[in-house]
Amino acid sequence: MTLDAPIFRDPAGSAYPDRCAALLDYYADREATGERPALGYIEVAARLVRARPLGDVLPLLDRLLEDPAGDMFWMVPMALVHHVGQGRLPEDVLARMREQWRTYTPYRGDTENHWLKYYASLYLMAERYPDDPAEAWFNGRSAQENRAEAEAYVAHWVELTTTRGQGEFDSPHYLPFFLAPLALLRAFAEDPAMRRRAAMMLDYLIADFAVDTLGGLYAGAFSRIYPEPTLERWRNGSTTFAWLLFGNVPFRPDPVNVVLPRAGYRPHGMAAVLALSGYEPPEVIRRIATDRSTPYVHRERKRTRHRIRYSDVRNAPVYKQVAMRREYAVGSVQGGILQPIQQHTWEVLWATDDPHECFDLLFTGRAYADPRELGMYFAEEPKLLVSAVVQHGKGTYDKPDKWTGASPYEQVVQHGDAVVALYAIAPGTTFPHVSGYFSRTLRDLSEGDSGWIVVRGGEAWIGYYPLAPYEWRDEPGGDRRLHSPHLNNGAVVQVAPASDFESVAAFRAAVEALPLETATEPVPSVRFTTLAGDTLAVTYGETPEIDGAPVDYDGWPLFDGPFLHAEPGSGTLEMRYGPMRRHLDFNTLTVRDWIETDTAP
Amino acid sequence: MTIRRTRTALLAVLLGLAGSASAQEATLFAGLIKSKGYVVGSELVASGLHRYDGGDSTWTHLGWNTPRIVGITVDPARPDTMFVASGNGVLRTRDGGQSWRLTTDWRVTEVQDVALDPNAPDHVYLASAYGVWRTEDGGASWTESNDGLLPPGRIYTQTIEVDRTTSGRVLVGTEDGVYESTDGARSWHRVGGEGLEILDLQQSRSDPDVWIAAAYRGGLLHSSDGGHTWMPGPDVLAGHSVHAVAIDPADAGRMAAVGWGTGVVVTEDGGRTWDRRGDALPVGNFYETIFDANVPGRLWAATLEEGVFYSDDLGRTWTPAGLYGTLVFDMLFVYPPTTP
Repeated sequence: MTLDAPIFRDPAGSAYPDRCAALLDYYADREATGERPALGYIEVAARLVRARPLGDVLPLLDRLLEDPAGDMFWMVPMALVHHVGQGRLPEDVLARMREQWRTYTPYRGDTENHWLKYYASLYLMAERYPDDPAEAWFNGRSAQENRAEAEAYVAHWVELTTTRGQGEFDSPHYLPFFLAPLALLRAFAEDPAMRRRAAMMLDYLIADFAVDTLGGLYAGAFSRIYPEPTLERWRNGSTTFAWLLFGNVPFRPDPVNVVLPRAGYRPHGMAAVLALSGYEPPEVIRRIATDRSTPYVHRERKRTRHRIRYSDVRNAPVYKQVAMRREYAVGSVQGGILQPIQQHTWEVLWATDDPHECFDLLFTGRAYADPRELGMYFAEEPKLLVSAVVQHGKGTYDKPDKWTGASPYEQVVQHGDAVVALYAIAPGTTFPHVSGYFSRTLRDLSEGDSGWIVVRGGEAWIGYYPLAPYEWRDEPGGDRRLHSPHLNNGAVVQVAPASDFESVAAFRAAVEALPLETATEPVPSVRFTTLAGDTLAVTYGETPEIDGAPVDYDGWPLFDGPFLHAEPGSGTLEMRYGPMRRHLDFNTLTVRDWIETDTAP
Repeated sequence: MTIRRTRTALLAVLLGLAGSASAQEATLFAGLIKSKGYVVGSELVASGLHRYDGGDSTWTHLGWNTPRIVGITVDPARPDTMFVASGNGVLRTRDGGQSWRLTTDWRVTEVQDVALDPNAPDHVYLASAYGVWRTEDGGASWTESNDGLLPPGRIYTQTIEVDRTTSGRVLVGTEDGVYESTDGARSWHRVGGEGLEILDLQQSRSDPDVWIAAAYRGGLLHSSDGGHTWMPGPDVLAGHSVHAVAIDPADAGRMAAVGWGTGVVVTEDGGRTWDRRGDALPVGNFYETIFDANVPGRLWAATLEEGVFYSDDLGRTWTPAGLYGTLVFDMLFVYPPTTP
């Protein structure tokens, strides 16, 4: 199967099992080109399950086993191949693989996806070799101990996620590294409860993704995303999962976004783990992901990753929402340091015919780099952290013009298609400016005496009102940066479907007619009535009001919208599409599907 | 209660001691990462616990190849029993490093330091990003021990030391000063350094009343009454981030401190005067320092990825001792067990 095959170019109408088979064939037949990534365990697993000759498997596997590396990234594909290799690989090869779980000492890491990979893999290996003593394992713990510990962690993570929200939430890059270990457990766990728990969490995370996807692209605000795939969204591994799960985007695994050139760290390749797991997304999720015929607003509560210093709480709540429609998505979180380094706080992303060619978004950012921010979340000595982060994989962290990252001096309020982003930058802090990303694909940009910048992106009209003077700076590739060096700053953004206004002049006239009061002293504040007729009153540092009522952050749901609903603390999730219902209850590890007979389709 | 315990065990071989310069000498261990070019999950050049074998600056890698071995402690009576703080938890060997066991489970992570009570060697304490845990059965089980420490979002602890003269007396460095426990970490109260993030604590081997502490952006703290009260350190380091401190085991008046941009700062008069030295070294950023247990007055300093050096004239001149490209988290001289 090649990228030119119809199922890859135009997945519409293809069935999920067909895409699984096609994906596995793709990896089974993939040849090394000398470019990243080299062939790895994913190709080995695909060749095994697609019954390629052992002569095409063993030499590659032999090379991989020569030099184990990758820590928890190594564990998932190793456990995968070890399990799919049962009955397929020679016993001496399986024994050699098993031996590496004694001799190689994988680091557990320090993030949520690291730990899930570590414990899911360790669980499966311990379950497969239940009587192996402590000396047979790298950590000097018996199979029984390893299995019990892994099971306890997975159960803890599931409970925490389904009651207080995911910590490493909505990450287009790291979603694959949650789905892959869950797929492993779904496929190979012998314990029915663990297998069911994993399948339910696949439903949970995939539904979470589905409701925020537009044409296969992850849209909105994210905990973790790398700079280039922020702008060129399809490069994230989540896009390949969207193709596989929903068939709503052409297939193109990005050869660049591998981050690290080795077998285990392959965000796109992780889709193969799901493809061979036997998991099939329920129809209700596929419809949630693909039906954009009716606009909707969806809200979610997440949490920050664990804070260890400089905070009064271990996990601060994250209030996330997206306004989705066929033409575009507007998404946000409330701003502030919710995740170090890679936070993406708000955006407008519009739909296009070919997401592989687009940079279709607009957002503002507040570059910030500080040892204290990193020290809040990372155990290393703060003074060392900035240079360590920069040297070790996050090279833009200390760059003044970076596009990703959090700032403590940012507050964002969204209401439907409108966003108010305010900045009160402390004097003397790093990078005292605000940047607006204006994509190369925007057109019809105009600036008027009113202060409104009006522009069109795809089938979306966007009005952008900056609170402070700015200048335009050219960016690579034809993008433009709105650069504003004023400490008290902000923007008011109003988006509308192109079909609502027959011309740019009509849209401009409409936004210019909207009641708008702004101030930058003593702190930024906005009072704005949206196209929908709702009034937002936002003063930096205070609880915002909508139509005179304060936003109820305390009552913010775990999930709420037309498609998903969950209350904080519930351990449940209900999915809805028309009359279709699916209810996940992690307290009892039960799933219930039904058709709501009195609901109109 | 003060207990003075005599070390009785004699071991010919401990953690490869027989392979070092002399079984009668203390052996230098380091927990380190070959950090240049490393990203979590990438190929890791031999990192973790290392033993210095002298001669041509040879270091031997022991145990796990792992990016974070950040603290080391040894039972002085049975030095083949070692606990190390790692990213995965606390590892323990009882056979001189031939085999290791991860003694903690998923609840314990990002361990920053570990300290064994020499007067009750089954009692071990760890400082982690999530506070303090204790074991009273040699690592068979661990109990979270944060009563009196800071709330969860500020629970980070970086360094922990046991008062070797008083069983159950433990000092820990937190985001907000030095805390003391006199009941084996069951409860804590602050004894100094309010507002300062404490990164290292050391007790003098020759005068147990002398303690010194390093602070992030806070220079040094000094105690001459057994760590019950703490005084600010020298002006030369005020406001600097000091990573590590050391006291010469043969002379409590001889101390050193290193940090970020500090060079190596040395006192020879118990802290009355301090001199900045080490500017001839290739970098001004340091992560660890220790006085030699075998060569009186020899001072070791680990730079940030530019190698480890020692000086026999208290920092005026330096000799390279290998480990270029590494970040050394902790160094420890392990003494041979003494006979009664």
